[in-house]
Amino acid sequence: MEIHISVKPEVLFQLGPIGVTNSMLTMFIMMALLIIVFGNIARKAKPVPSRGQGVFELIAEFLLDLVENTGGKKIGRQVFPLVGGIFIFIAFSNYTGILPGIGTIYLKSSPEAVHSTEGEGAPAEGDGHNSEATPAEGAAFQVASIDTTVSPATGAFAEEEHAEEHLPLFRPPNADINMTLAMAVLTFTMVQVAGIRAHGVGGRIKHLADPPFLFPIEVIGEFSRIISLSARLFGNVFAGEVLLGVIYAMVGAMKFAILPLFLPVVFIGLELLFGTIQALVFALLTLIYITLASASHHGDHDEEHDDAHHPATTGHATSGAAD
Amino acid sequence: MGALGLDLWGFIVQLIAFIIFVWLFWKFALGPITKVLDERQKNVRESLEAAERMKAEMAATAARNEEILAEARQQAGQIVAQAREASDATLARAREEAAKQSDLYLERAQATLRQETEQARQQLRQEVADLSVMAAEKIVRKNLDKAAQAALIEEALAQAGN
Repeated sequence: MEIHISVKPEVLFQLGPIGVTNSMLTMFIMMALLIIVFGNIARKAKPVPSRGQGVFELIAEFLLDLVENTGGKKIGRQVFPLVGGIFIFIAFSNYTGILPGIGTIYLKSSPEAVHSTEGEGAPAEGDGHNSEATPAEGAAFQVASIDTTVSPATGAFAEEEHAEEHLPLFRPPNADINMTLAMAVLTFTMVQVAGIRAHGVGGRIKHLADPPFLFPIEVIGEFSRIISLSARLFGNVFAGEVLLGVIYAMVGAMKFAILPLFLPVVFIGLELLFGTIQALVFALLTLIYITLASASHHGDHDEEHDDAHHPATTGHATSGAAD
Repeated sequence: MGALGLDLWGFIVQLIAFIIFVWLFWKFALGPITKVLDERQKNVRESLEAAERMKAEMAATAARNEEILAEARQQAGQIVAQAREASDATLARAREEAAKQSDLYLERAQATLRQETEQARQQLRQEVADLSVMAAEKIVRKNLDKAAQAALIEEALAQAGN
């Protein structure tokens, strides 16, 4: 089995100027599922909860406590829709990565598409993948062939030259830098909006330019959050995908033993944990950035300069950085 | 940037999709559940407060009952004591009255007795004197012998005795 992992999402088909990628497809399915499933639970909500409602309430209550304890009653309630949406979307999107079929159901693309075999040196040949012209013609579903060509002795992956390109039909949405960047930009925008709404444009600038010579650094700091938020989430989810792919390939290579069958279980459990942690980190950072931006000038001066001084951020920020 | 798969249209589509998702998710899922949670919290708080109020009310009622009972008990004791006192007084007075009355009667009776005795004695004295006079007259008139004289006195005495 060749390990087919591309850093960028593959374009499934072209829709006007928009190349519909596999991560986009998964994103739409995930969003629809979340809205339908949770919307259905919420629609039938009763004062005495059913089991499904209990689960949803557990999540909602956890998030509500989080925003109210961090942002206060007023700001917390205002950012709750965004923070809650971010957390639930990221968490459940990350779980798609461990589902069977995500990343292993392939579209057979045209044979003349540029084939690329991605193995251990995945980042190196990102450019070799031709993204703009691989429309999936006659989208025939084909479950990944299990013809593993890994030599067990050396553990090196033989690069098999296939005549045709394999396009995974589904890809975890957050393993797409566009998705994480979109969310980070939204967060950044909401932070600025909250800051301006609380203090006005002048107040926001004064908030950043205090002391004045730090203003450029503060601005860079603000913008760097976009990169840190998006890159952290993308890196974690993508690395999780790579990890699972490699583990599956290794397990496939060990043909005679029973133990390898259980090896992926450990990593699936870890990915579940990481998925939740990353969702929490993204949601919590969004919450904290907005809270800091809209907080009054007095008292939170130091926190604005350095998030690490904030008692609530430290633990999660470091745990996020550690992943 | 291209190596990471950055794509302007993809970015725009996913940004808009995410904004719409957050809005829809809030409108149809998270918002209603939050409302349910808030309502439940309010209900629980109100019920607890009502229970607390009820408890306080019950305690107040019990205290008032106790108070009323104590007051009633005290009043009853007072009434009984008063009644006993009154009856005692009445009894004493009656006894005194009776004693006084009986004394009065006794005194009056004794006075009457004394008077009558005195009267009787006076009368007797009178009569004895009359009789003696009468007897002396007879003796003088008849001049009788000693024996007849004695018999006459005897007779007169017997008459006087009646």
